[in-house]
Amino acid sequence: MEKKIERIVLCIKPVKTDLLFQNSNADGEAFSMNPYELKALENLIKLKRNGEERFCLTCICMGDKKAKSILRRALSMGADEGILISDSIFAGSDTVATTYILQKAVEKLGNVKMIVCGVKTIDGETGQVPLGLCERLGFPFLVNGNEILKVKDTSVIYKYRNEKETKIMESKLPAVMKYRDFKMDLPIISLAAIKKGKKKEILLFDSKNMEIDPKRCGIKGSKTKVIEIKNKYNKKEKRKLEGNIQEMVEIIINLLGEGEEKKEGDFG
Amino acid sequence: MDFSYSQEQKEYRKEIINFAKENLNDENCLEQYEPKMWEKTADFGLFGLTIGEEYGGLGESYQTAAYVYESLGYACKNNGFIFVINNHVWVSQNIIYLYGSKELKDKYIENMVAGKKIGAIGITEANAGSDALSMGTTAKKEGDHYILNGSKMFISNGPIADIFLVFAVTKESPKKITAFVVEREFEGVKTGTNIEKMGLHACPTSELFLHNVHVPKENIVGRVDCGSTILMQALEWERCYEFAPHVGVMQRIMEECIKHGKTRQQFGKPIGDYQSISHKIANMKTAIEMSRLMLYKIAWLKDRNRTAYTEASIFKTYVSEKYIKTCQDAVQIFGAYGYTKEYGLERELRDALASSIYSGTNEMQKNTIYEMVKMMVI
Amino acid sequence: MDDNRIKEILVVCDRSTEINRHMMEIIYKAKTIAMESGHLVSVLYTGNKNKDIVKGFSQCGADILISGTSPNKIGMWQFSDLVTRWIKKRKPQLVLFQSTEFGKDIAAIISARFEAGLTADCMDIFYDITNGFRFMRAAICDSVIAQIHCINCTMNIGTVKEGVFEICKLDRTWKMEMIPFSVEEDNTYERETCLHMSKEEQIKKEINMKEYSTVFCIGRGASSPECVEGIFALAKKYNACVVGTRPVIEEGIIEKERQVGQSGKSISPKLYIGFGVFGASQHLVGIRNAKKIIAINHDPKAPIFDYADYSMVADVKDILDKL
Repeated sequence: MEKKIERIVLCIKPVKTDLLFQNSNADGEAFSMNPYELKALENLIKLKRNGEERFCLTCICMGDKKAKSILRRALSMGADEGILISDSIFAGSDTVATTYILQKAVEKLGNVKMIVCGVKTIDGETGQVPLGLCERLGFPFLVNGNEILKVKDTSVIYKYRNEKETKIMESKLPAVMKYRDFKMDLPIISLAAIKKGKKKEILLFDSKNMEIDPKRCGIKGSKTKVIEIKNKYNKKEKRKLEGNIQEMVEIIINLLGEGEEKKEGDFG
Repeated sequence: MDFSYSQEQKEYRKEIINFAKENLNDENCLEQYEPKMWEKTADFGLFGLTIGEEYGGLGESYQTAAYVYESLGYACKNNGFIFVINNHVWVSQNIIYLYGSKELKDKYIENMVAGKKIGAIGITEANAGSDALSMGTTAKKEGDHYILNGSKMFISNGPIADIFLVFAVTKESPKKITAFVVEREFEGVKTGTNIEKMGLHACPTSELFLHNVHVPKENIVGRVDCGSTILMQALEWERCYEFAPHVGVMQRIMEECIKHGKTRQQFGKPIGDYQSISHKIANMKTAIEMSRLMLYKIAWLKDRNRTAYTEASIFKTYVSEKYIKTCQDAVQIFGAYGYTKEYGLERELRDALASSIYSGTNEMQKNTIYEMVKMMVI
Repeated sequence: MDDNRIKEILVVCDRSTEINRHMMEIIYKAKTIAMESGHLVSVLYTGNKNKDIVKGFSQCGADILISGTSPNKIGMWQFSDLVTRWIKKRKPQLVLFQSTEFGKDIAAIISARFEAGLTADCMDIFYDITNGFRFMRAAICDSVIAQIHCINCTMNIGTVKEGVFEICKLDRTWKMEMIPFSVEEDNTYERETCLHMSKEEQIKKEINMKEYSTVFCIGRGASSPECVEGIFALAKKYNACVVGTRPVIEEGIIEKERQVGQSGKSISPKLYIGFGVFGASQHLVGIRNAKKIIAINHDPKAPIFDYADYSMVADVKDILDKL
């Protein structure tokens, strides 16, 4: 029997479009792909197009029905499968609950050799999901990559870059990758690609078909709760200056001078 | 009747808006034709929207096309460039695709869909405008060929086109005309210099000269002496789809006016709160909605392979009048700013003014409309 | 009852070999919370140990130092297991990590492992008797600060960025308890092994914003080449660090390393001058601990003016020309 083609799962976080683009138009979707995942998606599609790599690129997206358009887009761009994880009881999930839900989704899919998540999302989540997911799934490898160079049967070759150096690394699979590069501009998808993407189906995973314990997801399963939201910056007593450039310049020079005199302080 | 957009249509709209904003709206080229823009639009797949997949198209319905072209007008500020696209897609490529023989389609359509060959149509002559059948360009049969002689005036896309759909007289009495596909490469084909116009600068326009041009008889679109049917069809398509983007343009201009009306303050309140401004905007919205209904109705008829000759004339006349009025009102709402080059509204107005003229003047359209309704009442 | 047990706040230091400022900031913050709540502050530290380092921990407020020198390359999973072991032993109510890449990873793993609530990049933490710990963090979507509370769990986890809190040295009269442990090189943690690795190139050196007491920030309103050039020249003159807001970084006007704000770094300089900075809340988060803020912007409605000590409504270029 032929071996089933293994999956690479890309977890896409829907983020509010107006966070990405200041002048988003009224016709645009309310949600867009997180820029890190967008870059990862392009990377993986390019690998597939080059032809050598054999894997099934599965995009999963958690959110309400609005997130569907993101998956549609991913399919138009060239992903193979789109999974929408959506259920009313998932609302309000924090990272602990989210990683549990994603774990169940990955287990339902099966045959997954790598999971790729953006290192962070533009709306402030700080990349806890890939770690928690890796811990829960018991995947042996957790890697940081800026670019995936090659996906082999049992390993992945990728590029890692930080402020100091660039490394080419190889990690065994299965692994979870935190993808560290991002792309802000929207790729243009041709009309033909939309038509092609349309032929692929988006599957819906909900609490029932994933066999989710309702106590472990949504607000019930979350460990953190936002209790108050406010605009909390202490407004200072301020001096407002208008018009007189010379006066402004003098103040700046004085303040800059003060900074000079005081030696670089220690912790005091 | 269903007035909802499908998911796919919405995606097309979203994508064409992204595409146009990214690639067609370079502030420095709003009144220029740039070959790069043409290539990008071809890659984007716009030209083949309604063309069958066997020629590299998408095989989409005309209703979808109506929505997509409306969206193109909404997103692309370069009206002249849209005009180039329309001349290529609707009155040359589409006519060959719908009425040409299989050989003819095989020969040209794929390249046109891919944007490798640009099309244009040649009806008007110096002395034959609305009265197209009085044309003087002739085609004389000689063996397997026809010899074309004459000249065509105001050929949009003229200087850049590779393929011309030319109408010429093949029989004198009774007068019969025939449609030919003429390539720029054919010996004896020449185009004149660019004719400077008031607006639509991105669409190069010129004269087309035909001097003893040998056109193979396979290049006839439809049948010999049946050109006037083709001509009527071409005009019908033109009056519908060349004006579809204008609906989108009106929408864009209206949105700009609303924004301006909200932010510009005079005498302590936003000018949009004054009735003299708000009613202008209400009129714009009304015009947009009415035009849209007519556009979708025509598209619906075309999807059912039905004729929409009268409807196209009504649509053309109505849209062009409202389009010009919208641009004029926008200039007025913006006041002195509207009259400046910087705000771009004067360009919109210059471009808009052409719409009551091309595809048959509005006066001629009204004659047509009356001729058609007259027959309905005995 | 468990309640009689002394409650603890555990601060987990990164696997660095030395004590650093970031650790001390967090420990001192933990101490200030602990003084109100009656907790003890314990610190888990795997670096080198000498008199000065021990004194350093003591001075910023550690009550218990759990330390053991780790093998050089202690991996993420092994480190997580180490933390797990000590959490099980000490049963802390609050665990704080450094918001470094490593610290955040460990925090996320521990959170999933213990099903404990995690608040990343806290901007403030406080305690009250009825509600327990409260965490503040910026919620970008709404451009506001969210107050977060842990529910359904006994342990709270937070990570803290460098420069968010201050340090004070305490006059210590009480003794710090020392708990040593040892970590052995353990090859069973094959989980992290990389098979192949090659260094490619040196990229530019890191910019340490924290070393500067004066910071100049380039905002979109000052992104013209002349302005940028002027600001850099001025920075050289006054030994200031030049940073930027997200739009400026994205447009490639200055390097990514210089980004300040939610998606970049937080700074707490003595003097911050925002040139053409509009003041999106994402950026304000990163500068809220600056002692003095001067904002120059031509738009009198720019939100940064609400937080500036000196608001100057003027064209950046005009000011630069005079400076």
